[in-house]
Amino acid sequence: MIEVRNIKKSFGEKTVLEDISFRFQKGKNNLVIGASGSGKTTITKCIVGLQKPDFGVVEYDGQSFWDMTRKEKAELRQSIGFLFQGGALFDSMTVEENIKFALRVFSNKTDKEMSDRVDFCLDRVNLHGVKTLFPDELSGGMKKRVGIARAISMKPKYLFCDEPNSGLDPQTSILIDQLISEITYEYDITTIVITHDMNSVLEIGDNIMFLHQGEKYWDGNKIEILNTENKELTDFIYASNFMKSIREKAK
Amino acid sequence: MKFLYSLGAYTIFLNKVFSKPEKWKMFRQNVLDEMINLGVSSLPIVAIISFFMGAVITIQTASNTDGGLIPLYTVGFAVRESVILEFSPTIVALILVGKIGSSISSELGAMRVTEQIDAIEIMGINSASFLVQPKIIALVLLNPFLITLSIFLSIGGGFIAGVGTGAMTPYDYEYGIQYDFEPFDYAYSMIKSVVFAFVITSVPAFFGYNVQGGSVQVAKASTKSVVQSSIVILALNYLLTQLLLL
Ligand SMILES: Nc1ncnc2c1ncn2[C@@H]1O[C@H](COP(=O)(O)OP(=O)(O)OP(=O)(O)O)[C@@H](O)[C@H]1O
Ligand SMILES: [Mg+2]
Repeated sequence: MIEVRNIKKSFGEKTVLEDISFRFQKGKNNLVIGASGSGKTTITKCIVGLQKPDFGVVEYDGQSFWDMTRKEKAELRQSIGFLFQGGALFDSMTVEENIKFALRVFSNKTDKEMSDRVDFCLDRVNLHGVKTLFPDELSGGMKKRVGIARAISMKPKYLFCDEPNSGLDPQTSILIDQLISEITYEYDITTIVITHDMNSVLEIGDNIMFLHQGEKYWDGNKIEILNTENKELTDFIYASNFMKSIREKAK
Repeated sequence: MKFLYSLGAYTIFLNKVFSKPEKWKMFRQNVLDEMINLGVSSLPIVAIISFFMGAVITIQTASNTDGGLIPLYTVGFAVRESVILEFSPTIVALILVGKIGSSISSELGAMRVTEQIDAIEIMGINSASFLVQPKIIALVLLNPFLITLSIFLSIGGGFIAGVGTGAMTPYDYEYGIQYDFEPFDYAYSMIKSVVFAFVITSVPAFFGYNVQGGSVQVAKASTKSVVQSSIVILALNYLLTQLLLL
């Protein structure tokens, strides 16, 4: 479980996060949704310590992150898997080396065992025959999937995915949602997925936080989100005329 | 004020760079890779520069001692002294700033803006130590060899230019080269090459690692690191000369 309390973050004059409190539950798919620029990426970066919140508490299973020593932080991070919005693959390394990277640093596995793990991770994201390619030889969606494979290589206890299915076709997108969801339940980990894809929300949204202009406007699960009357949230969900018409009909 | 701030930030950066590597085996491999990447690839440029530097110094010194009052062996002597003390360690360092320093800075800068450094950090790895330490160690180990090679090639270049043009006999030149040789001069040159290697790698790494923004900032950091490293090298050169030779 990860808990944040009263997180505030500004860049210069601009307030990006305003007093966010939320519990990301273990064994559940925790979703952060919201419009572009609402602060979704920023809050996850504050949670993992890539950015320092101006105010507030971040706790991993009750342990305050910002009170940890550098060594404790490093140890905790070995149990974090993180998919960056832009992929952030190491462009001087092949796909295989990318996925192996953390294993080579932290594990005492043999080459064979590491290769097996790479195969396993690539298989889970449904990618084949790309091991020897470099990131710039991959399509956008393939990069995303390699990013996910890298994020799960160390069997993380906390998995962060920043828009795992943006830029993917609907089928692959659902596949990725299912994969993330499977991993979450199977290993009973705390998963945080950032998305603005309503399909994903309805498919895997166990515990959802809605951000609007840096503030938390709503939280709940995928059933509750369909019945919400929260104005900002309905504007966000039913943005298209098509969705609006579906809603009218449902009423 | 800004200078003091940068100096402080640089010190903190070095502190992060010189913490214990995660895994020694991997560290050794990375140092070897960087030695090939930074050092061996610089061999051609160092060789060419050194050869012609030696040739030009010889011809110029010879033409300045043309009067007949000064014995010809002074040319060899002057070439040796200036090459060992100044030209090889300092000029080659300035060349390497342009070649190695700018590439370190832009490589790290690009990694920073594409979040690759964050990706390393998020795995629980000290990214500064992992990325920068092998580069510094590699060049610090390698630069004395590069400079030694440069010294020999410069003196060789001088020989070919001096004797080849008929300005002097091989005997004159060789006598001058060996005349009144102080081994400490060579040691002084090696001390400089180690110190400069540290600057050539660590200063650009500092600028590249701390880039904020996009490709324009990466380019700016690269330019800035070349300028600043050159200034630091010239300042340290002055300081070391004062300290060691007086
Ligand atoms: N390093 C930074 N410096 C200044 N402003 C920033 C920085 N990072 C983010 N911001 C600002 O913070 C706000 C939130 O950004 P963030 O990346 O968290 O949005 P997001 O919800 O992830 O959007 P998207 O869905 O488009 O990825 C934006 O207005 C952005 O301009
Ligand atoms: Mg984002």
